[in-house]
Amino acid sequence: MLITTKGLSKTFGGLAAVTDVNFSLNKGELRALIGPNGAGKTTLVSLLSGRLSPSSGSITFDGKDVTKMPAWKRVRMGIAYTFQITSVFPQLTVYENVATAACYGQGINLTTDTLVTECLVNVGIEDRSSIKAAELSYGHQRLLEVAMGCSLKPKLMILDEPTQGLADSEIENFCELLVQINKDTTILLIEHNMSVVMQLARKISVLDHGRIIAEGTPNEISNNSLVQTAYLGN
Amino acid sequence: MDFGPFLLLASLEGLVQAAVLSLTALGLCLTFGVMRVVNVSHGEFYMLGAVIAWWAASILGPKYALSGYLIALFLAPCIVGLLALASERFVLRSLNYEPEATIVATIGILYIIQQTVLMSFGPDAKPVNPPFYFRIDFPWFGYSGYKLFVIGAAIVVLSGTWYVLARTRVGLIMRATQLDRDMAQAFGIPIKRVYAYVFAAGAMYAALAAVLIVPIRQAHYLMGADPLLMSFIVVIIGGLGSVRGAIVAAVLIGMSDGIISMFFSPTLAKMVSTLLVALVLVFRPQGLFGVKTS
Amino acid sequence: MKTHRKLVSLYLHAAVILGLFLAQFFLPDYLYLAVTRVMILSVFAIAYNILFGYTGLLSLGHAMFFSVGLYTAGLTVYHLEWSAAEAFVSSIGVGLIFSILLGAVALRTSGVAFMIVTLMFSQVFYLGTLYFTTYTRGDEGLVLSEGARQFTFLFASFDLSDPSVRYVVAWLLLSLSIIFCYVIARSRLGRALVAIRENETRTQMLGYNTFMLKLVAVIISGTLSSISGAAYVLLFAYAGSSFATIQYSIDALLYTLLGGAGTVLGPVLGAFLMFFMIDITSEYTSAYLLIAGIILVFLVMYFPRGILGEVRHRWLQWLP
Repeated sequence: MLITTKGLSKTFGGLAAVTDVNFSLNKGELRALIGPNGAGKTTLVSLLSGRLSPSSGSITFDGKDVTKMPAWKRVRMGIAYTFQITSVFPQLTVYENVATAACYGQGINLTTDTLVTECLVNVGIEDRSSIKAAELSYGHQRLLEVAMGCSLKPKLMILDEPTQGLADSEIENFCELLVQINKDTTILLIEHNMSVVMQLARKISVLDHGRIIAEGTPNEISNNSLVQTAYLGN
Repeated sequence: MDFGPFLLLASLEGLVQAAVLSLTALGLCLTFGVMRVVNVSHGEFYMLGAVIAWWAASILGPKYALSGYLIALFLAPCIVGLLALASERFVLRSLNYEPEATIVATIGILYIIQQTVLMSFGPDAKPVNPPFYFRIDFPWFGYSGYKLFVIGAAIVVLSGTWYVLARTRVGLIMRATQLDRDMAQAFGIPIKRVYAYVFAAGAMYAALAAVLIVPIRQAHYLMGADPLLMSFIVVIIGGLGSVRGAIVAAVLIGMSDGIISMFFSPTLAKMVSTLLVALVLVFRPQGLFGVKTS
Repeated sequence: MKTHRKLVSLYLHAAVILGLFLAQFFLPDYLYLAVTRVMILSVFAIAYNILFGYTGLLSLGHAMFFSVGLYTAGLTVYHLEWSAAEAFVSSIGVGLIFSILLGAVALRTSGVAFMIVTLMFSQVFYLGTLYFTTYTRGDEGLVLSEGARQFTFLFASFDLSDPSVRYVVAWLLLSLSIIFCYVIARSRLGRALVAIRENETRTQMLGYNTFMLKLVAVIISGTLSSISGAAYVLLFAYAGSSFATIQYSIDALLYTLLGGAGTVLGPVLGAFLMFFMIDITSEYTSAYLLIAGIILVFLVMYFPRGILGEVRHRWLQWLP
C-alpha cells in the first residue's frame, strides 16, 4: 500500500466537497480517478498532495501518517503533483524549470545536470532546453510539467487532467509517456478523456458528490449502474 | 470644566473628525471595493480639494466668503474628479489595474500632485474663513455652528450615497462589477466606464471632505498624508471594500481618535492604532466587521 | 551556464567595483561627499532588491530597517558612548531581530496586503521616533560628535570624519554588498527565490518550503538595510526621523526599478542616476520629489524592467 486515506472529508464553509473517502493505492499502479464535474476530484488530490488540509480523516503515505504534513514536505517524501492549469516558471528556460524541480526530489544522488537532461530526453523536449518556458507551445508546456514531476523522482505522481487541451496526436504520445513513467512510478490520473482512461488504467475509482461510488476494472466500471446514473443523471 | 461636559466636547470633536473621515474613507473604499485598486494618491486629492477652496476664497476675498465657499463646494470635487479621470484613463487603464503596478504608479501621482502644489501654492499653511459664524451656547461652553454643519453635511452625503448604492441601477451596476468583473462585462456593463467613474467619484469624496474641513484646519501641501493613513485604517477595519463596514469603522475610529487625542498624546494614539490595524490586516484580513468567506 | 560567460560577468562586476575605487582620485570636491553618500544608499538599494527584485516581494517599509540600523548605532554612540565598532555590530544584531519579527508576521500576507502591512509597521516605527523624542530628538535629530567616530582596527586608528576614510569605508561596504548579492544570485538560494517570484505555488509543489525561504529573504534584506543605516549614521554623524519616513522606502524602490529589479548592479546604477538627475534639476526646482514621481509613473508604465533588466532581456541573458 503506497497511500491510504481513512474517512477523509473536506468541507468549505459548510459545503461538503469530499466526504468520508477511504481510498488506497498499491505500489506500481496506474489508477484513474474519474467523476462528473464538481464531484470533488481536484479537492481529493489536493488533500493527498497537501495543498489543502482535511476537515477530518487521515492520510498515510509510504507507512507514515502525513495528514498534518505541509505540501512541500510531502513532495520531498515522494508525492509529485502537476496542476490542472499549466503551472511552470514562464520567465525561466526549460532547463532551469526542470533544474529547479530537481533540487528536492528523491534523485539527489544523481548530479542535477544528468537528472535534468534525462528527464528532458524522456519527455522529448531536450532540443528546447535553452528557450524560455513562456515561448513553448501549450502541448510542450504540459510535457515540461511532466518532466518537472519526473525530475523529483517521485514514488507517486498525481496528474490533474494532463491531456486537457492537447491535440489527438499529442495525446497518443502522452499516453506512451505515461506508460514509460509507470514502469517505476505509481500514477494517479484524473482524466475526462474516457479513451485515455480505458487505454491506460487497470483500475478506476469513480467519485460523485465527494464520495467514491465505485471502484474496479474499466470493464466493471463501464457496466456499473451507479456510475451510469452519476454521469447521465436519473 | 467638569468631566461630563468635557466628554461632550470631546465627542463633538470626534464626530466632526468622523464625519470628514467617513467621506474620505468612503472614496478609498469605493475604488478598492469596485476596482481592487489601492489608490495611494487619495490623500493628495483631498489636499487638492482644500487648496482649491483656499484659492476660491482668496480670489473672492472675505466679503464673499459664503459665495466663495459654495463655489468651492461645487468646483473642488469637479476639478479633482477630472484630474482623477485623467489619471485613470492615462495611467491606471494602461496598467490594466494590475495591483502592485497601480500602487507604485499612484505613489508617483502622489508626488507629482504634492510637489506641483508645493511649487505653486507654496510651503506655508493657509487658513480659509468659515462661510458663516454661528455659535451654539451650551451651559458649559460655546460651540462652533460650522462644525455642526460639517456633521450634518456628511450625514446628508452619506445617506445620498447609501440611497444610490442600495436603491438605484447605478448601485446595482457597481455591485455587479465588484462581485465579478468578467461576468458583469458579459451582461453588457461597460466596465471601463464604470471604473473611470468610480475612480473619479472616489477622488471627489476626498475633495468634498477637504472643502468641509478646511475652514477648521488649514490648507497645506502635506495635509494629505494623515487622511490617507486614517482612510487605510478605516477601510481595513471595515473589511476591505465593504461600504457599510467602512462607515461604521469611520465613525468608531473618528470618535475614538478624537476622544483619545484629548486625553493622550496624539502621536501615541496614532502609533497604537496603526500597529493594531496592521495586525488586523495580518490576522483578520476580512476586517473586524466582515464575515469570513470561502 | 557557459564558462566564458561566467567569466565575462565576473569581470564586469569586478570592473564596476574597481572603477568606483579609482573614481575617488578623479572626483571634483563637491562630488566626493555626494558619491560617498550615494554608495551607502546603493547598499540600501541592493538590500531592497534582494527582497523585491529576486523574491518578488514589494515592501513599502524598508525605511524602517534602514532607520533601525541608523538609530541603533546613533543612539548607542550618542547616549551610551559606545565605540563606532560596537555600535555597528549591535545594529546588525538589532536589524536581524527586527527582520525576523517583521518577516514572521508580515509574510502571513501577500501581494497588496504585504505592501500595506509593511508600510504600516514602518509608519509605527516612524511615529515611535517622534514619540520618544527625549532620546531621538525627533525631526531635529542627533548629531554625533567627532570624537565618537574614531575607531581602531588592527592597531591602526581611523577617523570617520575624514572624507577619504569615509569614501573607502563606503566603497568597501558597497563592494562587499555587490559580491554578496552576486553570490546569492548565483546560489541555489537565489534560484529558489527567483522561482518563488515567478510562481510561488509551483515552487511549493516542488518541495520548497517557500515560507521559510521568503523569511530568509526578508532577514537578509532587512539586516543588510540596517547595516547601511548604521554605516550612514557613523559616516555622516546625523540621525533624524526623516530617514524613517515612507519616502526612504520609496527611494529604495525607485532606485531598484530604475536600474533594473533582479539584477545585481541595477540598484547601484539606479541610485547614481537618480542622484545625478536630482543634482542637475536642482538648479531649476527644489521640488525634487516631482522628478521622482514622474520617473515612477514612467517606469511602471513604459519601462517596468528597468535599465539593466532591459539590457538583460535584449542582449545579455547571462547577467545575474
